[in-house]
Amino acid sequence: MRITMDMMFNNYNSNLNDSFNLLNKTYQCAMDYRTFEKPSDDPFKAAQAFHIRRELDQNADYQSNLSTVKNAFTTAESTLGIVGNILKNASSTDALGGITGTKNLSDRNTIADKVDKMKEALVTDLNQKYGNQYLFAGAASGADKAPFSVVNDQLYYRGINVDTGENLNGASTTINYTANSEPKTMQIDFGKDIGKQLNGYSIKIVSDTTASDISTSISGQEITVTVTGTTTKSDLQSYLRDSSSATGFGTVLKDQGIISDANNVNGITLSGLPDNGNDIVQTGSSAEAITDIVDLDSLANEKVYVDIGLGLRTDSDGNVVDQTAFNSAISGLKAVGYGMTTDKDGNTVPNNAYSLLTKFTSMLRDENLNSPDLVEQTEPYMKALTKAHENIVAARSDVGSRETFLTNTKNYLESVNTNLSDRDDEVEIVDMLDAYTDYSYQYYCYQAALKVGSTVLQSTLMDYMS
Amino acid sequence: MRSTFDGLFIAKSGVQNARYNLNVTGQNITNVNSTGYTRQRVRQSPVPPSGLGMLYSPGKVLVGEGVSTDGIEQLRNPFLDCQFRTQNALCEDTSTTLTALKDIENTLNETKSEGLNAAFHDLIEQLEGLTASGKSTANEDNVKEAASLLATKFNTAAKQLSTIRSQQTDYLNKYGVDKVNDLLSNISDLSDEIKSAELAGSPALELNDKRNALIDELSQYISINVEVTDIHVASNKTLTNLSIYLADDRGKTMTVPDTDASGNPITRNVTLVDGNQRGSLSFSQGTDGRVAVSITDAEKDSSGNNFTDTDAGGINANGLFESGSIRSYISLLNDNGAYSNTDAKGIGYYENMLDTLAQKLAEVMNKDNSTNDAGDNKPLFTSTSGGTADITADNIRIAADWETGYLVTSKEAPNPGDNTNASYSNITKMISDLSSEDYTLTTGSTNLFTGTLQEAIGNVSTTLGQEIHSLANQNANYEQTLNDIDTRRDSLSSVDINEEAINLITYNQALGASSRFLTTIDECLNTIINKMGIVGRG
Repeated sequence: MRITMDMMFNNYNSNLNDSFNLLNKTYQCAMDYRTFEKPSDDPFKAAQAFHIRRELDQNADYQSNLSTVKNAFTTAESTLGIVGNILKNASSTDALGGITGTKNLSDRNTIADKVDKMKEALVTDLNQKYGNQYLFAGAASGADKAPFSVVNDQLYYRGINVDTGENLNGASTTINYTANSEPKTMQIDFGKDIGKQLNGYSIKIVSDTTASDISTSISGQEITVTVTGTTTKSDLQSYLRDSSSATGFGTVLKDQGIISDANNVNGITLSGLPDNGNDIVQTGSSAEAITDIVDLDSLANEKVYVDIGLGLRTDSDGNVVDQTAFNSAISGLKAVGYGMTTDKDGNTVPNNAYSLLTKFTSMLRDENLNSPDLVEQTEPYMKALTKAHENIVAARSDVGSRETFLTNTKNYLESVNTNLSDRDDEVEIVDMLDAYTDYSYQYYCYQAALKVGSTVLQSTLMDYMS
Repeated sequence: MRSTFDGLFIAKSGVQNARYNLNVTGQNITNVNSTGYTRQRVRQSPVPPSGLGMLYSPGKVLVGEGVSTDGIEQLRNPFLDCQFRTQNALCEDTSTTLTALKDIENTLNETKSEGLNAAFHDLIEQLEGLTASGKSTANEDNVKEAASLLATKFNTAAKQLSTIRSQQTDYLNKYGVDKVNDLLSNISDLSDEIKSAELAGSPALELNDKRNALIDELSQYISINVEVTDIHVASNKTLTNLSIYLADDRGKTMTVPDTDASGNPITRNVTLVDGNQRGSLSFSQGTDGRVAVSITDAEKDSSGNNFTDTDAGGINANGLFESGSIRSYISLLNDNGAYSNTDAKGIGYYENMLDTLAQKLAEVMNKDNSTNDAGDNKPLFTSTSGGTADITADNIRIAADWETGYLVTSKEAPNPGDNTNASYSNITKMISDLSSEDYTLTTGSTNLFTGTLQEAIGNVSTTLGQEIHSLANQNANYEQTLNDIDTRRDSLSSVDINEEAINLITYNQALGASSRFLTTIDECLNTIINKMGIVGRG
């Protein structure tokens, strides 16, 4: 094949360019030790790297969540320890344990005063905050108000009477319905004024597309509210508050003698308004009871889920699957007891520590009760107090064991982090030695190419002609 | 016996021929660096004796009449030219697409800098923080900021893609179509000049070289097939006519169905240049942003109108371009991958992907934050008009109504008076939806991607990375082949200094030898004329 100078020049030029290109690439690599600068350099490594980065980021999130929750739990555990001590002191011989048949009234009042102070301390401790969260508020840890409050010497947990479950704010009912094939609920809050009077009734919402207006009918203990096909939630609320027109809810209830003052319906509210005021009211599946009693069991067992890397998943209803997240709720109600029990002797005593202490102070201060009778009367309560103390100890150890779980998970997350970081290094980072060796080799090749070129491309026949 | 002065004629032809050769060698040497120059060579042949085969031919001993300089020719292989042009179109096609895709990659690259992925993770991180440390104004504001930043990143990416689109449209218009029209008119003008030169008798080799260089340049833009035909104009005069037709990506001339002026269906070639007639390209852009390049043919139909390759939307002509940078521009601007049922993924594919991602993000978050039955009352992300049906990556932003307390933290029915809705079950659902829930992104009835939203965002840049990677390999192969063809062309056509130096020596010697022969004949004649028959003169 005929070779010309031109061809040699062009070839040399393009080969030199290629060599210089390689030199540049290895130089770049030796500068930042990365296996790829852009995804197109090595798409498969890039895909791997992004995947690992996502996992690393998630892991960091889990670790941060976990450490916040763990710190809260540490504080909660020590607070429960303090609360346990209060109860222990209360049962000690210094206080209630020292009730004998021979104590006189002034001694009894001294003991009662001591117990009063202990009651205050108890409530303060139960309302403890960590950061801006209430530790013992169950699922309402972010609320603005403290969970425990005392009204007329009765302890309330988030407005609910701890002994009876009575809601301080009155009666309400929850209507279940389906919208867009999803289960939804709507609450009607009847308030304090008529709450007591409606207790025991049930309410049902039915829909009648032929009706022209909303109406109410009552049969026995069941109230049926019939809505039209186009009634919205705000319409329904206005109707329920209506005490002036003849078919208004208040008017009908008053006429039937269920409530005493029709105007008391003015405080009825539907949940979620005004945001969902335009939703069409759907029929409830059945009649729902109107009650002002809250189920204390479910209140005490509320859960708040935090994602700490256990594979958070929600089921089809949108509820978190239990094993896939960490329950960070600590229920103060569960710790200090709730409800009433009847013992084998037929005495009904409250389970709640505060209520028990209140019972004690009222009996101690009762002038009509002499000391020997006092001892006999306080005996079931002493037993209950011991049980309440055991309850707190159990709650404390539950918090402790959950904290241990967190510690184990923390160690696990840290080792996962190390593994992921190592994998990330493998994929994204080049070994320092390799990078520099490559660069040196390329530099050497480039120098050789330059030297060769400068000798080959010079002489032609012209130089030798005379 | 031949004429007395015959030898002088032989010598003269030798000297002249040697001088031609030397001049041509000189021409070659001086043009060694001219782009596209093809080396020239004198075509010479021996002159047969005169009177050969005639009635009164001189007899047995006949000597030729010297050397005849028949002409000057170029050493060029048109087949190699054809190969080169086809390959050039392929090479430029991939190169143009590669440059544009690399621009897009710079926009979406998150290897070393913070982009969509990082902003998306920030949002999740802030939501996680809300569940762990409790709700307060500070924390909800953080979530709002993170969401706003994510929306801004979408906007930025969309704007940058839009800039790239308008740049490529400009390139197509000014550096594609306009340049091609320029080249076509230059080529046809040169053809005219060459024709005049050929009529006058010279083959116009330098003009041919110039025209070939222009045609090589044209082949970058569109794939062409060049045909040179001979036209007989007089008894022994032929002219060459150059025609350039639109070709497929293998270099074969394309035929298109068309109707002539009377409405009969015909098939014809798409002629860009025919002698001194030329066609042209024109660029147009539809209201939906699609571009179209239409061709006006150099040929005219029977009623004297140029054929045009357009239809109502000018889209038809787009399908005629099979390689070259113009095809690449059209594909980049018009093809949207799965969004337009084409295989090629142009700029539109990535723009549409970002839109789909933005819509999905808004859909998921808005539904999670809604409290009414229809699922649409408290959207977190809206478009600039405040609605949610027309969200795109360019106009997504956080809802104007998002004040403190707008974020729905729980959808459980609270006990009245009891703040149970201070739990974060809804936030946990949002986190789960954003990071671990699988979604299927679709367009029409085609599934684009199934996986979590985070994976979907990462998928855009890895898809692009793979496209670029494979295209870069293909481009490197095409370039290698192109270089090989060019080397073979050079092997035949380019000037070698060493060879010309040897030629110099050769022709110099030939000139010397012919001149010596001339002086020899001159002396002979001198002897014959002046020194013969002078016996007896004093």
